[in-house]
Amino acid sequence: MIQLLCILIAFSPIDVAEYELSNGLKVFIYEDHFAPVVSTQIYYRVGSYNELRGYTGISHFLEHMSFKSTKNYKTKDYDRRIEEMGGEENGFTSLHRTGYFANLHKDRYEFELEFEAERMTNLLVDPEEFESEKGVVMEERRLWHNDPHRYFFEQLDLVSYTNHPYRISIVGFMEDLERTTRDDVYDWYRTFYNPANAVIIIAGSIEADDALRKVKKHFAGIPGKKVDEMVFTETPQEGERRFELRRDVRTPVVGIQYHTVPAGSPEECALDVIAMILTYGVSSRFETDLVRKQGLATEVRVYHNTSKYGGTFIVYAVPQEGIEPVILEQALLKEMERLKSEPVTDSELQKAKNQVLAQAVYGRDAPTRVGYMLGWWEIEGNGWQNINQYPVSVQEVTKDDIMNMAQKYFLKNNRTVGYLLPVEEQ
Amino acid sequence: MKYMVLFLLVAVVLHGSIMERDTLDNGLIVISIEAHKIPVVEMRAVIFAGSVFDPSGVEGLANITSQMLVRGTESRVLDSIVRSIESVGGELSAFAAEDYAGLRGRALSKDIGLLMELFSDCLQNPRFDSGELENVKREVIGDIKVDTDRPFNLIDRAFRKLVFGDHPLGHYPNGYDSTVALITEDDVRTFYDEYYSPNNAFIICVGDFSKKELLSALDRHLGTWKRKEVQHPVIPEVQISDHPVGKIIPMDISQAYIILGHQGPAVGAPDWYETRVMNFIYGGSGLTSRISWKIREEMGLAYVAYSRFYRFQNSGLFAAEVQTRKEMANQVVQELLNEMKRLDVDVQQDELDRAKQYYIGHFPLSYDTYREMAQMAGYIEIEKLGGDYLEKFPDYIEAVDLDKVKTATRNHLHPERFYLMVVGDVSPEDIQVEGIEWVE
Repeated sequence: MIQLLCILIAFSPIDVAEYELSNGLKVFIYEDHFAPVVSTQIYYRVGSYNELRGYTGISHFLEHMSFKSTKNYKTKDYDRRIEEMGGEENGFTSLHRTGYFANLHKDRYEFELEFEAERMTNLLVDPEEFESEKGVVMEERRLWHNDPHRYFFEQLDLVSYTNHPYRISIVGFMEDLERTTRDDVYDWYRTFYNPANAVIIIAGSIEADDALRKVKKHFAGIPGKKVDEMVFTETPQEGERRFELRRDVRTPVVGIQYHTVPAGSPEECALDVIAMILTYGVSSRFETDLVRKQGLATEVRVYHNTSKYGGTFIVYAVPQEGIEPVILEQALLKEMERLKSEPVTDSELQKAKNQVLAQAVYGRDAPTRVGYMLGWWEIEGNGWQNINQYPVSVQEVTKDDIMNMAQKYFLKNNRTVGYLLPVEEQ
Repeated sequence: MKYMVLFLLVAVVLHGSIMERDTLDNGLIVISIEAHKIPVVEMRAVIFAGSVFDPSGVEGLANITSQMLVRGTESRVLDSIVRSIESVGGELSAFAAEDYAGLRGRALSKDIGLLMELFSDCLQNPRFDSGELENVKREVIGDIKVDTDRPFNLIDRAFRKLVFGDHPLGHYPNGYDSTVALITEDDVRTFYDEYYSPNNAFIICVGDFSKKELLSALDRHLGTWKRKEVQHPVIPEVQISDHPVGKIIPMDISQAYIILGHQGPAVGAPDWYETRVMNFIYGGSGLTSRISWKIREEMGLAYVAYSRFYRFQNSGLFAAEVQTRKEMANQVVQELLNEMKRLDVDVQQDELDRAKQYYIGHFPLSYDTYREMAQMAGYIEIEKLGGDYLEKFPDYIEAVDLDKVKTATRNHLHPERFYLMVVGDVSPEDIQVEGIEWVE
């Protein structure tokens, strides 16, 4: 208890200033004056979740095109300006977010705001550049496909979900990419890129008032238009699903995926704690029992991935040479069953709670990371305030909560089991 | 105080935090950076005992030895080590690179005593339990096998072997599955006895502590580590081919994974800054480099086209890397070579200026967290850059001019004698390079 108290003292809520402009643009400002660096991040509320069949991968395609010509900047003008200022920039796409960021010296960060306003309003999606970039996006699709492990995770989602957009990977299907037109991408841009559908985060060595003034200067004049989002619900699973992926591999992989809960929901914390108890650190259950004591696996990882409308609890394991995947699967399932009937120990539970709190403190090291997490919680995790609430809520998880979650979600009818296996002789 | 400040270089300031370098009586160098932004401490122990010291036939020994440090000591079994640090949310792990190996750890500052105690025990009193050795070997062999199933990782390992052959730099630090399997308890103990000594190591601490108390505690914990004579093995010269050499690993995938490169400058090369600037222009600068512009932007042939110089104490490696659909492999190889040749005769002032502005402007961003500060401190120590490195870095970059870049290009880019590694469904006939020798 004293130990927990000490960690709780180390963890203090982060102070974030929150604003909303009249055009609907949300602004979060986090001051950290340790280094003269500012991370400016903008997130649009659009990702692979919003894509219908025939248009998969279009949010990610648009992200690529967002680094191309705008009305006032030719392709690469922006990248070169950032380089000249010693900055770093990039973009990414997820289920519900398309994000762009630049980390710059505190004296120069306003340029990123200026350019993001340009990107929000004046992107050309030039037809010639579009055709060339289509080749690049298709190469990225091939890269994902050619990595057997990455593709295995894609397959897990494809089989685990049936009628939900979370089944489709962010890069989309190749045939959809082939038929995507310049106008499709431009329409997507016009629909989703506007202040009412965006969040700006400025984290680092700034004064909040001055940062807000700069945001208003560049964005207040841009009209906002709210975008409605369709809500899809996955039909409850009614039986175990299984698949094999055959590839030119020497080492098999076993994957087990259960449907769980959305980010920010009350049950999320207990499921996260289970994931930590099972594989976080060398003293975790799977590392201790399955990897070292029983020698059944060389690696086991567990993720509880949550997002706006749902989550999955994933167990990924690489069998030790000579161990059949089915033997490893049985051992993994036995451990999942054990969670239902046998309470975790006090020390396991306390360790997981301490790890969550310590990670929250470590995360403060980099303002970039704080900004990223603020954006994630705001758009995918039921509100940015959860960045402070989550580590505290985890402290309230009990051993009974863990058993209840295991009994509710780790069910045969709620799981998908996949094997990555070597190609069979035909 | 038992410790002594052997020498203190110029006080280096990283965003208001002072980096200092002290030496304990037993020769252990301590680099400390006191900072109080968050209540966290980052620690590293670096020992000059990397994979280039692996004896032939037991490649992977340096890595296994470092991994075994945290697998049990004379007074603590593995479970006791990992449970104690993980139960307070801390982290402790081992690592190995080509030139060095060691421990890294992180904890809330209230647990600095525990972290230090574990570092001290693991470094001085490893048990090398045979059961744990078998566990570690199994896990490392598993990692290597998974690596070779993934084309990205497979080609990196294969390229290294193609360029350096049987030279100690020819293998990844974690070795080969066949050689790791042969490592014995005696091998590990001998390797440890030969190289693990305070006078062959240094410690880095960054974060929320009082430097005075830190040094006193480090002296208490690690001052007992007995120094001994350490003899580094003589590393042979690398063999350099006088013509292009190619190798293909067949894999039934839709793309050809390509790495083209050769040996490069070692740590300490006097022309490193101009070489770095030259590479920025060729392929090091993300989306604006010449090969990215040509292969990705103009031709739409790849998601990534980049190049990098990797430097080690005894040699270095230059690698330009692209993945493209297999039908375009030859064209990509030609473009990589064309751009190498073009750089020799045509470098523009604006490219040079932008590269220099980038390096100078980006420098403060490269050490703006505790973790990055620890990395920077290690880099300065390993490369013997001196206490004035942070201050002088902009001058080093400013001194680079067009002539120096051209000289660096001639010295360190070799379109006439390179190594070409390809993974994919491609045959030698698909790739047209004059005078290339294809090897199995």
